[in-house]
Amino acid sequence: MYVIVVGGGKVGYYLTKTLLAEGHEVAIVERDEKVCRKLELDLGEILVHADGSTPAGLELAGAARAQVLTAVTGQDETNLVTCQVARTFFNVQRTIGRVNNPKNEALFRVLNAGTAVSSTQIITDLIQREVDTRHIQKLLPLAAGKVNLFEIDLMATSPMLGKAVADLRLPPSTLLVAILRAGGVIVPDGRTQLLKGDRVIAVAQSEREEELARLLFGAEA
Amino acid sequence: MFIIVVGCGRLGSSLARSLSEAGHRVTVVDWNPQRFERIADLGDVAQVLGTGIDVDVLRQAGAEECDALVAVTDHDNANIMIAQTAEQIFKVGHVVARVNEPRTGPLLKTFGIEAVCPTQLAADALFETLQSGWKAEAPRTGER
Repeated sequence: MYVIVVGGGKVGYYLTKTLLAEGHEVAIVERDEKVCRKLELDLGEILVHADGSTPAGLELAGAARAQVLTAVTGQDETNLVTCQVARTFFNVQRTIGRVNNPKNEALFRVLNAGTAVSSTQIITDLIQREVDTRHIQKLLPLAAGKVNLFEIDLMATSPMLGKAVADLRLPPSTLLVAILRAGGVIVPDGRTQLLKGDRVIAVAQSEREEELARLLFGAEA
Repeated sequence: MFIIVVGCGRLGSSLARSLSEAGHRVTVVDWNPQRFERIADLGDVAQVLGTGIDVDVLRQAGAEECDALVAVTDHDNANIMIAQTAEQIFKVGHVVARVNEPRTGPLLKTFGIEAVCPTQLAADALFETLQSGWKAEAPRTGER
């Protein structure tokens, strides 16, 4: 796959090295001459000295034939514009932008810039998961975040243990799609019983997260 | 009119001053508190401390009720992002961005962003100034 990495800082550098090791064709775009000189020793042939947030810069990197573009400079605004330019001018199907401010994740979707990855949010979520006694985690936002794929770790204290799926009184428009149990996957039907240690994968409206959590973990959690 | 000016450098502060003196309600946004010194004498101008590329900062500045928003930070991409946020999230009626790079023209057109390019304006003004000089000197050059 041909991947363009915009931003030659630490994230861009290690991302490029990793992608190369995975066998991908990569170009790394960096606008700062000093940074370019450092990268040149290691990545000379695939280094493009240009402003990746401009149509001219991405043209130079051959964006028209890129399957993926990822913008990982330290600036959210540059990453946003870069992804927008890649999509609008070069029809790049998959664009991934790095954001520092987690609030800009949503903005990426609304402003047609593709997917945003926020290391701030990832670390926050991991910390939150440690703190949270109710192990419910958003796996994947769907339909612009209105619907989410949730993963729920059923703990010994769940009042739903031993109950059949049909008796759960799930919130409206909620579907349990899979149960991960003892290293295997069960696609549940109404008769499937929930057991301690199950990891339940559910599709639900994002606003129903609380309701779902209360149901599966009990009101006091 | 209620106008938000994002960026309080030389350009933003001058614009805020002009707008305020013209009788408009003005709020200025900048992440650097020292920049507000430029408008310290303007008692009527509200100051909001924070980065313009944050929806909550723009909301705090009044983006939901303002009539116009001008993005004049010194980063083109930030201004482009702020302008799009103002238009698409806050549905601000009139949004203008400052861009320094004249070659961003096609990009702004594609994204539908109204922009002013100080670099191009200055180049045009300098060109005009030089050209009017040549016109005055035209007879002399004609003699050669």
